[in-house]
Amino acid sequence: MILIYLKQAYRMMLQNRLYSAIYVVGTALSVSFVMTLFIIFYIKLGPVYPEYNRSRTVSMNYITLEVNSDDGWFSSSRYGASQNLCNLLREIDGCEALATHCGGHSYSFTVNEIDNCDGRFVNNDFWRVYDFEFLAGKPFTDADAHSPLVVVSENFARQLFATADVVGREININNTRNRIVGVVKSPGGCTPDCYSQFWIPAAHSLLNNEKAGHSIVGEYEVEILCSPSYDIDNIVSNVKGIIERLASERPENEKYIPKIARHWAKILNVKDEEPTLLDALSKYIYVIMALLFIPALNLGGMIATRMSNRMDEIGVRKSFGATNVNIVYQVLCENMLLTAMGTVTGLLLAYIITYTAKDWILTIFDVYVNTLAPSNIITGDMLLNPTIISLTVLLIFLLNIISALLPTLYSLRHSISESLNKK
Amino acid sequence: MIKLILHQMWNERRQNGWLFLEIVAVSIFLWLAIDPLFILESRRSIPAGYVADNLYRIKLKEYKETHIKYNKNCRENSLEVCRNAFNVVKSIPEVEYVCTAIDRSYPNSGSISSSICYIDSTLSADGETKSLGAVFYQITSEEGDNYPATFGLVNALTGETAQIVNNGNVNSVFVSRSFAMEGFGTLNVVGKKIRDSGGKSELMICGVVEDIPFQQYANPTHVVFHTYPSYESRYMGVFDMFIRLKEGVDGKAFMRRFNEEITPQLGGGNIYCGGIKSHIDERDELNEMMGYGNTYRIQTALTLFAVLCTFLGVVGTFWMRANARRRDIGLMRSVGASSGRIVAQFVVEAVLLVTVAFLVAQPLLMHKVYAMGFAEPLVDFITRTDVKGDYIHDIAWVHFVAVSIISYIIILLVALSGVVIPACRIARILPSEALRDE
Repeated sequence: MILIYLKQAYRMMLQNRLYSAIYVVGTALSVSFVMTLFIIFYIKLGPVYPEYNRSRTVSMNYITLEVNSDDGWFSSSRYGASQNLCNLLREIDGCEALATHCGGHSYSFTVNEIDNCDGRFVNNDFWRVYDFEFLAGKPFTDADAHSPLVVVSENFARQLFATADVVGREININNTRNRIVGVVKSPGGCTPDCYSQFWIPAAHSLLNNEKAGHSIVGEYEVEILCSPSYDIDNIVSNVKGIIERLASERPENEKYIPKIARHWAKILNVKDEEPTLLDALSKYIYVIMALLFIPALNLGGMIATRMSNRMDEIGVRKSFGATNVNIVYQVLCENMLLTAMGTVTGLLLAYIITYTAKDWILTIFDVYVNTLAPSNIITGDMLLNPTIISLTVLLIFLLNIISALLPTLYSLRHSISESLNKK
Repeated sequence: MIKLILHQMWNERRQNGWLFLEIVAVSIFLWLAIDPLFILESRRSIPAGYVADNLYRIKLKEYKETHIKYNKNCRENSLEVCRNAFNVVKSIPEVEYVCTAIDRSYPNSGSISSSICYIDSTLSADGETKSLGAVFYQITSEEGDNYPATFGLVNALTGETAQIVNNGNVNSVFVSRSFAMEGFGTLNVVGKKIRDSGGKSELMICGVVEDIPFQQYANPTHVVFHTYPSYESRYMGVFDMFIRLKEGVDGKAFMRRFNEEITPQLGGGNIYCGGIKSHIDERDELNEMMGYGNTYRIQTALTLFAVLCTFLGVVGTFWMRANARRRDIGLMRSVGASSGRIVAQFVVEAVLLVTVAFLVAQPLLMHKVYAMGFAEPLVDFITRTDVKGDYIHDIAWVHFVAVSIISYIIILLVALSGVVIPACRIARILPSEALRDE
């Protein structure tokens, strides 16, 4: 029976080309926009290489230090965390690993006479918080903290040596020779917290620690990997508690305001103290609802007009014994076929949009855009994530069924004679 | 005709209901998509107060101690190296004017330095001691260093290019028009004095220039140009320079020649030339960094989405409706109705539908604006430093009406383009053909 309905639907599609085209284009439009948004949010918030632990990571990117002097002078500056603070945070219950790192564009690295290279000073836990895939070699360990070692990305290794087989070779970073101990699969700009071309031990002599010795502020950005069994909010409270305790030992005119946030709160630039993910995403949810409902209303209108034109056909089918369920089933089959075609077209469009605009599309909702950021690497698992594809398809099919069902059910309320008299 | 159309619309109220709901939803969606674009475009249309064309920045940089090219044996005087570079640049034949570029002291520099100025009660517009927040630009007036001419600042009193005055006084300032008007109530303020934030120094006004927004999307704000007579009178580390090219000089060709021939001549020791860049490119990069490029992209995409949905909805509904009305149209044609009248009937139907749906959306949008305000496409610190003016984005009702009119015109044009095609097609049909089919 389904096969017959599908054949019938296919013929109807060919007969009513304009209607079918509008239906497919409308659905594709909706799918492409919604899917593109889902892909953006998945890449920014979901588990992607090498940030697979985003759901249980808490970041402290900076601490604002406000100083009020007696003569009314006021200053406000942002710093990272000091080594002392990092050591205390590592002892918090539920802290599985604590990555400290710094680098990026504030440091200008020249590697083998190539200027403006991206390097990052990291501790050993960095390799636990971020799940890098080592193509060769291994990360440095606690024992290597003061050694001139370096881990490089695959792309950077190829840029320097035209091969990824570089473990054991030496590179010159700002006039110091460093031995390569590992090569990792290159991360992209969509993971800015850990992105770099090379990583060197945090205790490296090249690190210019201007606040060395301070009990609270220093150079490091901090990422705490929380144990799955611990409440992340408790861990955040403990971090704040430690900073408050240290601040109470500092002069009274100094005020320390840490920026502590879970990954999603940091990415969505949440200003409120304790919002939920749903609160943070609400404005985007409204946009997605509009992207889904407007085309659904569009289809509803077309189907209502079409059903009123097909009243005679419905009357004939009813007079030959077709039940309302049969007719609804037939109409739904027609619509499902068109919805399926629209969905496939929309998904393809979304992939084309995301891939061709990959240099800027991931920053589309950012308040400040880092124009110097490295290019994004969009991989197949980011685009073909089964959860987001299923969610998009489910939403579209659900709305299209509703927009087809309402006018169909309305038109079935007429008796056979009424339906036939419509002609 | 209107009665007939209303009757027809009422008969097809169920099908019209869907389209009506869609247009209400699209009206709200489109309005919200256009609002941030309107704000950005309205702000962009404010006169810049300077001439951005033909303006280029030359960067001088210094190697850090950790840099591979750093030479620790060089102990050159950085000010002398920069001064020599300045003289080399000044002597380039294509260069009309040149000035030093101090951080945060020129429009679209990316950040600002602001402070409070005080005006004594004897001088202020309302007879009371007045404090005015202002953006401070620091400029120098050494021989050959001409900031006003390089930037093309306009003298607010004469309308001509402003001229720099080197009176040897470290406390000379230019002020912007809005500063003079709000502080003194007049543009004739040359020779008058203001006090700086600490109240310690008196600054003498030696010129008034037209308002100059500190960023392309900012409203004009109060600006004070603090003029230093020499590089020594204000500590100058390694500084950048701005140049204005003479009219008719090809900028791209000049930049090529500069990079090849001039760059190696600039700098010395650990100081080197970091290249030349057009001010317009730097301004556009700043706008991109502030997220305006993304705002344009996303809002334009949403606007296109709304437009396409409206078009598809109207074309689809009216196409099928036109086919369903073949018999009526055949009858109308057979009793003498012209094809123009039939097209007009469809068009009026669409106009009525769009207008009523759009009007229904307005109270909802008003409520949104009342409860949540207009869109905020600009970063916080820009709107915080705004001096409210008579710009249409600053007057709430004008802003609302302007965005509504733009949205209505777009929806109406799209709906009309969607209805005209099926209407013309059906209006061409011969009466005999239409009636035979039925």
